[in-house]
Amino acid sequence: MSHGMKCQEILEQLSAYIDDELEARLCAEIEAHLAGCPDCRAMVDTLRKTVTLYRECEPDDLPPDVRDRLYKVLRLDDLGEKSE
Amino acid sequence: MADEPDILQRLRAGDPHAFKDVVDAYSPRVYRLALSMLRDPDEAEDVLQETFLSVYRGLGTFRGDSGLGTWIYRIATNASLMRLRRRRRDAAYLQEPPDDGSDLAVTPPVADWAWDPERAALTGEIRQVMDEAVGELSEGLRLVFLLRDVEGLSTAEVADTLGLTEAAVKSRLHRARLFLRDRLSDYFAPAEGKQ
Repeated sequence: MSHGMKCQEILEQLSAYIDDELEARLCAEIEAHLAGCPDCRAMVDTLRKTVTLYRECEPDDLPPDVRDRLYKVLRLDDLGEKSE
Repeated sequence: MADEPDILQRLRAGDPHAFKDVVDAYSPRVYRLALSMLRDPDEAEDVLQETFLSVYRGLGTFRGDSGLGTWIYRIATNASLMRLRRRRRDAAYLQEPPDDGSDLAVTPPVADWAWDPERAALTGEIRQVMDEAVGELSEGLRLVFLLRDVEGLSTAEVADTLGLTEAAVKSRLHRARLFLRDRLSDYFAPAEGKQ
């Protein structure tokens, strides 16, 4: 198995590949390479997992004191609970 | 939160409860974005407040060409960028080292992760590792990554917000992802490339 230019060329295209931005011919070339290269397969898999991790990570609630000061600045602190 | 057309109609009619709904829906993401960009809780809070004051004042002129969230993130990003510029006193914050490809290299063996984000819950420890990794990115890469992958803006929207070409956004996004993958591999696959 070669780790020469071919792997390097694949690596340069991986974000576009996982974002489905590549034309079909190039995707087919990459997939043919991936079939025989465990390192590049692991690279694709872990790059996908990296993107998934960040995309699906919901933000924490605002710290209560930060939220209270925001409401005060926006004069929302006397509106009561959430509307319909 | 209600559907966007409905909320926009109520906002334009001056319904304060509609504005509060928007604040409640978007403030955690705005605060996270500002905190990730600025790495300073006090400045992030200032940006949070400035952003929603600007949103309130700008509602009358918001045409809805982009989504409400995209518009709000753009205001928050610009407010954060102004602070970064003030810190640096120049515009060097978005200048990256020459892209000579030296950060794009396959270093075998590449280990897969035993951990699968689609099956396992995010622990506090993992979130800390993720936050620290983002903090290690250069500003130019971090801004692109946060807007594109964390907040979900399109490549065109990120390019427009940061004043970059779409090609530059794609290149920086790729470099940021590879860097983060490498850092997270230290946690999820500690033996990778070190044998």
